[in-house]
Amino acid sequence: MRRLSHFETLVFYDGVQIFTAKDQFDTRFICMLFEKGECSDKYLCAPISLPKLGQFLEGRIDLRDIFRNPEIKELYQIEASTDNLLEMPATPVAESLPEWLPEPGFFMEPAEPLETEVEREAATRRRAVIHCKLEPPEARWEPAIYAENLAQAVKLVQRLVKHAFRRFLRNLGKEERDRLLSAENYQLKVFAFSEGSFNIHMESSVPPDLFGHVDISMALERIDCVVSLSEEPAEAVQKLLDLGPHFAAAYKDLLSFISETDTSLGYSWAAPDRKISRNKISTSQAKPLYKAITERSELGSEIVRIVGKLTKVDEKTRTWRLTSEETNKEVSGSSEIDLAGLTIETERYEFICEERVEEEKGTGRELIKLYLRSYQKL
Amino acid sequence: MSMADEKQLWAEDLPDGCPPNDALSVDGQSFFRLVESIPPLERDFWSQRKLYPLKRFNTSECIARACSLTTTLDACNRLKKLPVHSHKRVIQIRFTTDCGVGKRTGREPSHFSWWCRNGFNPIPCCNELL
Repeated sequence: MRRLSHFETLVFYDGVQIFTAKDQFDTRFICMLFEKGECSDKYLCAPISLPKLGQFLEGRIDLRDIFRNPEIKELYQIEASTDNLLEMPATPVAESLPEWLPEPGFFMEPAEPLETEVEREAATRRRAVIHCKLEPPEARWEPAIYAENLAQAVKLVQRLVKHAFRRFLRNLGKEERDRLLSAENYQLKVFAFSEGSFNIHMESSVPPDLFGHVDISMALERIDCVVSLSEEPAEAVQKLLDLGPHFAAAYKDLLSFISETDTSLGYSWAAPDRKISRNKISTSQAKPLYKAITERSELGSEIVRIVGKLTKVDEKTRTWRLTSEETNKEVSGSSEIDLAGLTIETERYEFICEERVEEEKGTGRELIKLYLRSYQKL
Repeated sequence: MSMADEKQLWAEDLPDGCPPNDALSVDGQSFFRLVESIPPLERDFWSQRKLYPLKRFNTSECIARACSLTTTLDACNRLKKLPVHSHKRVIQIRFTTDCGVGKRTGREPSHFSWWCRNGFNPIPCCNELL
């Protein structure tokens, strides 16, 4: 049986009127409210391809036509009940009753005219949108870039966003943090390229809430804070101390890329609830920034608290494994203090560790190491 | 103003941080709304949360406790093409003073969420539009 999950609300008026959904096979549906109940609402759903959905969102297709002539000749009914808003079972509708269909002439409203392309894309695509402008030497005469440089730049930007987002999560309560932990909340998608050196258009993977807010904006704001200090390396380093070693390592690698490939990086971003923000790191700024970061060894580590039960302790090699209660994942590390007397499996401990972000020799891969400084039984 | 005083400003019990800080006063402005009857009844201006206390909504609690308005007549007439709204009537509501705050919400530019001030009666501010 197909099970549909709400993806994005398209029309809201005293509740969700029209939304897009996905099934377990990633097929996209458009669903329209046709019956409102005390505890649950019923929606009529038709499968829809992304190009056709795009035309509907641009106000070029009548909603009635989508249901009267679905691309796949199937219609479904779902019930959004009090206890089941995700994975709603979809029942096939043999024949859509006339009173269920919208009247002719329901077209989506066009988006408001906006000044910049990035704002327009954020409004029409309903995502946080980032335009990254790469200026490598090979793009000076034509919009071209070496594949390796392009791949590396995209990867570095994504890594920076990921660590900025994870830092933002730290300030949230557990429930909210758990809700946002999955990677799709910080994952970017590249959806277009435009000329003017080499412009990559990226967007958030998840749609905004009804206020137009996309959580990835909180990560982008943090990146803005650092990049806006590109002319002031000492202040930028100070800001990086707040953002932790993972972000600092990611930023350092981005600066190294800019410097080594002679590729300035400018970016602008906007979200449905946010006006445009612009920043740039030039090749001449990247070198002193990189130097300032490498000179501050404390940027490579921070003190973290981990609570959980030990699964392994080796007193001789001074190594340990513990299942973190916060993430429900096992973490391991070494110790600078004696581990004698620690009990595995049964006791809960609070470990105070130094988390160091180190670079793997040869591959340059980021390695995270935990060094136990102190602990207490809880 | 204490949190308790702040909560008493609104016609409905709102969650913390609601209405959002950037919601603006609607005083002196005109909006449109679909209602069940003419003249409208008090419950025509209740939030979804007040109408359906047991329901879970695929939106934030703050928006579930707001009342939808549109900035254009066309938007309301278009909503009437949907099966659950086809029987409704369109009214224009001209806000006077101390009526509450609103914010553009949702994908469509014409949609507003309105959080009504405690003690404000919208019914005398309504005119039916045919």
